[in-house]
Amino acid sequence: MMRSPGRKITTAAAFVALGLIMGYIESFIVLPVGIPGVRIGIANIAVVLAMYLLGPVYGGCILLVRVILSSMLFGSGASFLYSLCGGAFSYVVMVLLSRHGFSIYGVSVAGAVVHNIVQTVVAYILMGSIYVMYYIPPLMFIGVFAGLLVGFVSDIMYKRLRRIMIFNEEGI
Amino acid sequence: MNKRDIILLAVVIVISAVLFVPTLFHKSGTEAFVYVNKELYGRYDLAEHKELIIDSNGITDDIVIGDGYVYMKDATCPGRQCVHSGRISGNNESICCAPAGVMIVVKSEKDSEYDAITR
Repeated sequence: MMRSPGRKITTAAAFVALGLIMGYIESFIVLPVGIPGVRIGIANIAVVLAMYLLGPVYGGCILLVRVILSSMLFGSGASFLYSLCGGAFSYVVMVLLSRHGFSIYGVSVAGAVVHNIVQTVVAYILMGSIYVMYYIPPLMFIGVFAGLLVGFVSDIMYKRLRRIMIFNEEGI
Repeated sequence: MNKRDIILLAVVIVISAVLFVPTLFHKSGTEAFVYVNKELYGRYDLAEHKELIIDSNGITDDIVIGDGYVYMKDATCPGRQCVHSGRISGNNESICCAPAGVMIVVKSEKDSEYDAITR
């Protein structure tokens, strides 16, 4: 796909920027659940795309940089911990599923659901109250539809970007 | 979307539905337990009108109790997800304002007696 490391790194930076903007826009959409970081996961589009286009290692680095930057820019110390745990676990699950015959839809649904569950578990650990676990069933349900939406957008973008990136490689 | 994706979707939806069903049969609660940074701040009868202002972790939470409900009227935390949680009344329902470390849990009388023993 893309062999030049310089080009790969600059593309990765563009994905970080994309993820940051998406995360910022997303911060205006608040789901009625009292757990920070439980979102539709629009920013996950950038991570899913990077994982498919640049590979799992680059995708993971993009996720890490995006989480650190967005916590410094828009968030607090607590939100960093929530996003980092949610992001890391969901990313591992997404990489594993993408290697076992699941399509981009299944991968992003699993990512969204795992992200929501892990954040609830972090809330349980930080708040010390088991009652936040009652949020898990509705959050799993929301995660399915949020994940499908992310998968749908990622699928379209992946097909187009793949063509553009191949074109660049051959054209320039 | 392939076959595996559809199986995954079905499994997740079924699990969430199975876990969700018991929460539909919640009795309504009678008491609100308010916790601040894991410590019990106070327990309040849901029938009595009361407004609590709690300052914690640099955030102010405005909690309103009364008419069998409890809700977060206002909060200065970022995102204000606790305010968007709406009002709760069912046994074991909760509102959590994570940045402030404030947790509100509704319990029924029977459960709260049991709770007082175990804690």
